[in-house]
Amino acid sequence: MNPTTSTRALLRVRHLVPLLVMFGTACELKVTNPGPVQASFLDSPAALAAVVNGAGRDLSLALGYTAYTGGAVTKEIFPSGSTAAFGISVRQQAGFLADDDGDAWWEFSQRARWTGEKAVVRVKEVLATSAANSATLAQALIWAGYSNRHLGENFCEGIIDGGAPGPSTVYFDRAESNFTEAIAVATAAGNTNLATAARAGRASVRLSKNNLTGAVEDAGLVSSTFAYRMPYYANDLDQYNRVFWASANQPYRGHTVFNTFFDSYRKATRDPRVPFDSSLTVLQGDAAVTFNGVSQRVRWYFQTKYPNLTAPINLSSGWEMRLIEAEARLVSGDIAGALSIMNVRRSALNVPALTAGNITDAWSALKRERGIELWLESRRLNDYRRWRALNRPGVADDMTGRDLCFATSLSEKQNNPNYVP
Amino acid sequence: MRVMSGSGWLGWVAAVAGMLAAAPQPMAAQDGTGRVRGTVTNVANGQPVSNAQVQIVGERQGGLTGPDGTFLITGVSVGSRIVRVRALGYQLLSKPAVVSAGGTVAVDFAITTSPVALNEIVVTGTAGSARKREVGNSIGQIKLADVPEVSSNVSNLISGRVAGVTVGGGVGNAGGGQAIRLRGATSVSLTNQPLIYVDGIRTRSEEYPRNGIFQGATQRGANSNSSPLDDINPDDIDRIEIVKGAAAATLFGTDAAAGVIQIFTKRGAQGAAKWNAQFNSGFTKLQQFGTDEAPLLFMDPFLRNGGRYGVQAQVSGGSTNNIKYLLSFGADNLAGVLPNDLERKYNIRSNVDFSPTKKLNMSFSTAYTNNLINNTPAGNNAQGITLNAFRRDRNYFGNANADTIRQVLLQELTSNIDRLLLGSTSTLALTPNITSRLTLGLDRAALENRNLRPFGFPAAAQGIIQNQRWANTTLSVDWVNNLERTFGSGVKASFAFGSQYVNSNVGDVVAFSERFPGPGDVTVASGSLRNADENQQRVITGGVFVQSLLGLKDRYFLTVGARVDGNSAFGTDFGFQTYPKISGSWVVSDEGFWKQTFGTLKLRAAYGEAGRAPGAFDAVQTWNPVGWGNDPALRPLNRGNENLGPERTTETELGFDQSLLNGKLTLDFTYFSAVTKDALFAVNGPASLGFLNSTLQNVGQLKKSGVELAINSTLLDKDDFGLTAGLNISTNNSLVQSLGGAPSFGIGNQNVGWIEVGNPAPSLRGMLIRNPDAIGAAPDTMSNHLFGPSQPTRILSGTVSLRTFRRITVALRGEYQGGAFINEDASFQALSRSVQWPTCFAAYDKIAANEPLTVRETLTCRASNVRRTMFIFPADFFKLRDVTVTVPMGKLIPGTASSALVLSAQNFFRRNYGMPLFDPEMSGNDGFNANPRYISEQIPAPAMYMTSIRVSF
Repeated sequence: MNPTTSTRALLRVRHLVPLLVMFGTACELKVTNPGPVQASFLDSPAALAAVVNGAGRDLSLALGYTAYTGGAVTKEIFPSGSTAAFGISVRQQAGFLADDDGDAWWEFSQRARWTGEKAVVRVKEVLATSAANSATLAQALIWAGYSNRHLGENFCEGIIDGGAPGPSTVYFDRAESNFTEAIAVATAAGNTNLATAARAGRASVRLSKNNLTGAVEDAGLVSSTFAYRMPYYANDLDQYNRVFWASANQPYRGHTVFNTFFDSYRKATRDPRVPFDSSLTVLQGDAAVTFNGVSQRVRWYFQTKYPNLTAPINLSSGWEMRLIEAEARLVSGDIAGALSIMNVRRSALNVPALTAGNITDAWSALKRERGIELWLESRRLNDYRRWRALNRPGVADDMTGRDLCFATSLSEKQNNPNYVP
Repeated sequence: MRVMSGSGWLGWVAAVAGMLAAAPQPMAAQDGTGRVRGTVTNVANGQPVSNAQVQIVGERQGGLTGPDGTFLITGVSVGSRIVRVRALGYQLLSKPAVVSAGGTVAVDFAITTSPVALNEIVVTGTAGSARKREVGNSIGQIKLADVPEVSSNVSNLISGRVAGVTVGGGVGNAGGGQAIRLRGATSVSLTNQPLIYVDGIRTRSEEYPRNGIFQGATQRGANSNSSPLDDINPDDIDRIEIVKGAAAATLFGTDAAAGVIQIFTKRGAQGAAKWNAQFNSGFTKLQQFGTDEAPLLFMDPFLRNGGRYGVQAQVSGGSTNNIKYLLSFGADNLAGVLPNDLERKYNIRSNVDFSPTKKLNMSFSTAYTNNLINNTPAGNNAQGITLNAFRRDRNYFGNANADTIRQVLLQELTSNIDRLLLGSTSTLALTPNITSRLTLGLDRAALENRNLRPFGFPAAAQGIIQNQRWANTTLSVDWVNNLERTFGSGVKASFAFGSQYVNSNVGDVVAFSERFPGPGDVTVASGSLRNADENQQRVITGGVFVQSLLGLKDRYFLTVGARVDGNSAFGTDFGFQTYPKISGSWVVSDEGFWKQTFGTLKLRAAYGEAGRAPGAFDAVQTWNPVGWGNDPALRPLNRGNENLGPERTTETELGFDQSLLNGKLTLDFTYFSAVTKDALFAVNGPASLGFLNSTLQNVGQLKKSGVELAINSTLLDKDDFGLTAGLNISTNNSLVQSLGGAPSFGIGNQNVGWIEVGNPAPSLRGMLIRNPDAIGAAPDTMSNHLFGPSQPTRILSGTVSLRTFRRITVALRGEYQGGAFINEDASFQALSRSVQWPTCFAAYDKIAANEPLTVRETLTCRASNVRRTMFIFPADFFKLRDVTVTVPMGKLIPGTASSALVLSAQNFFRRNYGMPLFDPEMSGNDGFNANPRYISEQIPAPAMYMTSIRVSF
């Protein structure tokens, strides 16, 4: 190579250096991608409604899951097909709510609590002093309260924000606190509906805490016709009423009222609180299940309490309040008073009145009546659990050998360093 | 036919080139000399080898073979002569010939490729290009000239051909792609697909999105993914170079830690137009993947032998004014084994090279592919054919009747892929030793996924439709400058510097609706309930690099280099990343002490780093705008990590390349050890902290190491009989060295995979049945037992090529993989639902006869005892990848220069070692990056039987 040529060439190459720098280091590498919302954007009054709605949506999903699966374990429904997706697993069919049978129930419920409680914190931070009379804050508190109640009523262990496991009563404590604050904020905001919803929620929580005086005090302020319902929507699968969708002919026919107490009870009484129907052309569920010890397909009686995928699920109702009052009467030994309260409802529905010759029968009647009134509302596991804990007499369905709460999920156990059972 | 008689090697090359363009006339031997003519073919597949140099030893007479592999040399001195053939990338071959005055003697050559051609130019892992002798890292290379079979796609082409390269995870759906792993998995949380470059331009390597539903039950489709790699027409490819690890991938920077595949397509050569055509036809057939009692797992009524036919055509040549061209066209039609499966693929390509000035060379490549795929709903899909067939009366119809199950075939699944690759490379030679090369590339992949369940479809009676329009555009700029200087006393120095810029933009718009008013042809607008989705993501990587090569006496070489990268996905607290490299090679056989009988030997060593960037949104805390009814709603999505940076993989390679027995035996050995620091782990937080998705953190350290040995030999090489054999052996052992204090965690489908210190990454844990065959005994089980790695730890692949009478060749390619375990989820899903499953047929008979069961039968054949982790099996297998017979037919077909008949059977024999059902190479619903891979309700890739007529004009 000719050195002179090489030198000239090198001199030419030096002009490439700025280009190199431009290509290699000065290119704009910062990119803002649309789509997911960055957390910092949420600290604005305009974003709070979406934050609070998110808490509601999370609770609606969690409620749909436990209402369906819990209903199978508590014999509110009977499996008639699918064992996954929109089905009931083999072990759940046998009454077991094991930690290795899926994480969704725990995860959705915990997320609902977290988003509700964090929504409360965010609303308070963003609105500062004006939060005290904000309906948005009241709504956030109500979602947080119902999420905590939901956890307390359905899960065996209490875990808060990655902490150590403890008794599930921790959720009831938080729920009561949420509802108490919600009553004050909603009242200050002039929102009677939210205030009543909070009061009804607190009544149910106090019942679970065996604070009957407090429960009756709250219940008494809720009219019988009041209802606070979780809405469901047809927008996408996650917003469907899961109980309806799983039982519908299309696509799953995953559960049936066949072979439950409600099957015979409805036929005998025509009680409109536990409606179901059958098809003249589609007689059976979508796959075989074990019935009477034999794997076979069973009759498909589809519930119609939730007649479509947007049917709401009660979170609280005035008739639930009446049952709280009736239960308090039974605890005090007032059988007649308890039956009287329950029969007001039954009379209005043109259903045969309840009778009881002794306290045990009266408890049995109350236990059945709560099962009927709160059918498929994700409340039954807690009733059985608290009655068992308090040694309440009387029987409804036999829950011997069946789980009465959902286990903490494997995912929580494996990923929570503070989890030491 | 080409003729040459002249003086001086370069002279006759130039003269031949001129004659190629000028329709040469053969010279008659009128002067007491004779002529030698013949054909040069590739021993592996009988195909003609063009541009091979044929020379009479000791004389100046010689020539180049033409497109049909023929040659004619005139003016050869009479008497016994030695005719020698030399072709780039092939072993030298000489044959005797007795030449008579005025006579013509025929001498044919079948030449063998040379894995260790030290002066061959490669691009692997270098800035620009280098001779093999200068490269310190291992070089995996596939030359299409060596591939005998009828190539179905590029993924299958690569499979089992290079040590350390695995291709798997495919299923039997038409258009389904496969995952590629170079030296196993490098990352736990990020993609392990290697980068793919085609003629120097960066292209998409990740799979295409599957044709599913964006919300709710997302698996309502075929649950397989197509591969962008398979858009490339295998017949357009000249060679593939594979950079297996970070030691060689440093200059590719961030994203190159999983390796790089570089594809070089064929280019035109100076001379008259050369035409090649190939006509393929054949069929596919599903092989047994069940037990002898249920060989196809009850899929029999739904399967067919799918037809396959296609045509490939190429024309290439070059004019005297320095324009060279190659134009190609390909069409391939496949009817899959599943009833709705079809794939119709068209490819066109134009490669043009031209030199407007003596100092400037320009190359332009344009390739377009259109791939239309129809699929059958399958996979873990309640509305799929496979799941419902497998589960019979426990399926989602509650009915095993085939006509009932066939109702799912009403679902229409169509994927239409449009792929455009545009590339240009301009090389400016400022001086003979200073060059600057600029490569601009555009890869545009567009996909329309249409998913229709019509009115009246079972389980969606009013119908559902979704249309997804997805596109990925990758713009790449690659600028390389080389300065080279040779000093006295054999010192060579070169310096390279440059930069790369890659801008990748991927996004989709999805329209969805359901509830049609009635039957009929529909669009998304036909549904009364409509929904939509949109995603956009842009990632930019920019970097600069420098590299210096120092060579001494053309046998000692040292290369040092570094790359500095920035990436838009790095966290805000993360800056530019620097990746260094150093490598060396020593051509020992060029030393004076080396004896000729020891052949050629190159020792090499390399060290380098490369990275892998996190995703675009991984660094920031985000919330998902999910909506609730008609109101806005937000849900926690990603916890975020402001300190997020790339994984850094450091790799060391040691090895040698040796050629013995005059090239008849070659060895290529490599030891590698790669450590990934700052490994990105998707660390799951507890659900009680609100975020259900895992968060990426740079917390871990992984190691993988192994050896790779490639042996190629020519065992016999006679005129009418030849035998060559090749064997690739590789091992790969991975290890989690650190989790940075984080607890062990589960990954993958149902968390069967585990990342824990001291074990492979990932390893499979599950229930071990200690006394499976005990009869009537209590089960002795161990939960959470460590089974082993999910990636194969030992791979053996072999090729044998036998050349017989009339150069008919028979080639075999097989592969064994061992050491891995896999979760076979389909059996769990069936048995836990009381499906009468073939592995339990004997148990059912015992139950009926009231006889005791074995422990395994007790646990797996009674639904209430079945647990998900009972179905982890060894994934060991042997497969005969292909057996191909090539029959050269010369000019048997009128008007052709040469032709050949190829008969090829692919993927028709498999043996499992441990797994009772399915194919261990299968996958589940989750695409190429499922980690660990698992098996769901799919069928394996079918066998393919093809015939092909290849002709040259």
